[in-house]
Amino acid sequence: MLKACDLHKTYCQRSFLIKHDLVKAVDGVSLSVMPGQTFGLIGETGCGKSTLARLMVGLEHPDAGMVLIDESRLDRAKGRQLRDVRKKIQLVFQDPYLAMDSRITIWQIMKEPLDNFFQFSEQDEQDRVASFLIDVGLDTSVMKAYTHELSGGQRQRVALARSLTLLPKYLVLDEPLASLDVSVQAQILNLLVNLKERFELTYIFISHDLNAVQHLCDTIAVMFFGKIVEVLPRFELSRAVHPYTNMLLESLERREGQREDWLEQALAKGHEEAGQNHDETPGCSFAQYCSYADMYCSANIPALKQIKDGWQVACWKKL
Amino acid sequence: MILDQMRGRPLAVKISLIALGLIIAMILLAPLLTPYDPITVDLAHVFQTPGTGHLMGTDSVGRDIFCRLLYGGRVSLLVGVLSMIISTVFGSFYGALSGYLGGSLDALLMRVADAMLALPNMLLMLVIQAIAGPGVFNLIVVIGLTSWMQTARMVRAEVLSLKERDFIKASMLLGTPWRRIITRHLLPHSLPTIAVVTTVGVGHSIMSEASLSFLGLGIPPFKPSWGNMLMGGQNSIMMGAWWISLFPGLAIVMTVLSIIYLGDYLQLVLNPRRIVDPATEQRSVMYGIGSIETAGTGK
Repeated sequence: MLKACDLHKTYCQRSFLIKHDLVKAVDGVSLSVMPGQTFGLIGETGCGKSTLARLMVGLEHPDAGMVLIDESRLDRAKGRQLRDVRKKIQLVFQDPYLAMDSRITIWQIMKEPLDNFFQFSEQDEQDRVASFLIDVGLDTSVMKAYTHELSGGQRQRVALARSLTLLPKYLVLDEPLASLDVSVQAQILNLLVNLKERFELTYIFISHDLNAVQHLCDTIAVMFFGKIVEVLPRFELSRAVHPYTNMLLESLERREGQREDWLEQALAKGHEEAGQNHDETPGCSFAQYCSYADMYCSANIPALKQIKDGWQVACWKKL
Repeated sequence: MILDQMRGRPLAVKISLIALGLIIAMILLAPLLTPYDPITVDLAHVFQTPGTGHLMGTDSVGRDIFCRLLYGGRVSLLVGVLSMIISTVFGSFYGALSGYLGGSLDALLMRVADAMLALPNMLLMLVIQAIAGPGVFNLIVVIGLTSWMQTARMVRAEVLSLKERDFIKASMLLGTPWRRIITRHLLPHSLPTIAVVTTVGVGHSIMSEASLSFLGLGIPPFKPSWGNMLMGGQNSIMMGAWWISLFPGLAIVMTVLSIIYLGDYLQLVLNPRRIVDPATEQRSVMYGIGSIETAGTGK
């Protein structure tokens, strides 16, 4: 089981000697992902999704809280122990081109993790790399290519193949579709479904695209300003409780007709204001955009409360 | 075959290759090209002007300049290139280590480098050379060990920005040990920086050899090197004997410029992106010339 317990991460924007702006990227997030589950994490750009992903794979160190992978603590692990825990969880980056060394060939990229953990013979390594490449739907001839010689879809496939080489149990996918165009997105999405069965993976799928999350995930967590506001099973999505989740759903329906995204505009505007006075509202961070909110909401932070099995909501009004 | 290889390269690179090749060939074939001896004094023929039986004239004790130039090049090139290899290898690893591991180790390593930078370079070389004694080998080591700080600082800066990039983070996640991250990813990606610092450094180390030799701590004055020829001819310029200093000076400038141009071009060739895309090749070549100019003015 993959567990995050009350994770906090604050970034400090240092402006020389004058003022320190604190950005609470992740603010008290707890979640648990069962083996075999596909856990979707959704939220707009800048709500702390990527930071949460990096915390969960151990790339960032949490200010408070802990990450548990099968009962061992990732955030406290050091040296050999860290290497062993990390083998179980891998991250797929948003932009595969930036996530791979551009000066070496795909073959060298693919064999790097194998070199780190095993002592295979050259031939053995080659066979393994080839089989992983075939698993993600690539021809073995890409081994000789450099990353810039591949298409976006091919790159993301290589990135997936590389993260599979260590046979991890958990795969954190940090917006793996965001850098691809729409036709390729569908292919990769289907590939993810196949790989999950083939390698018995557990996904933590992070996205701002509700469609993709709906397609892939069985549990969906909605994140807003560093906090998880609602966790619900996919089939309950239409009956979502939290006002923010409903806002996201509405925006999705509107988007069917027109590309104009009122939500993102509204939130972008809200962000600008919130950037200045976000700390001054001690309560629910969504209160200032919420039509149900009252004085109580903006003064007290709502905690996630279980309303049904596998369904948690953090809201004062809608419970 | 070599001519085929040369086709399509920028003009500056062609000229540099030819110049450097010529210099090296002449240095190696020195005994065949000149009948004179570089050390024997000939007081009957002091201050001969260029052309009068001596191609580049003679110096204040009648030694043939052309001859001394050829034999002197052996020492100068050897010292210049070898000391730069020492300083580049040491400086690159030092900087990469410091930048990648960070924290208190970084602070410690960089303060040591700063301290060495703060001391006047010449003083440092004088002290070490005085302890180690004269000789070409000691000269190479001393120059190498007093010129790595700039490389270290540049590589550290490069590594600091590289280590925040996704592909390094990905390597960390895939369990690559830090030693391998440095050698496989960070240093190859720092190559453009390293190439520029190194090629400029070759010029500096040839000049360092000259200064040390002038002060009597490098090559003994009777043995030729471009540096001590240049220095030795200084007094004679006032007497109108311009050729004694001019030719070694030209040799140094030619060598250093050729190495800088080649080094700059080398880092373009080493970049795998260039192999496929003719459009970017054109652009990188133009970028190459631009950065050569910055490197040149920096010197």
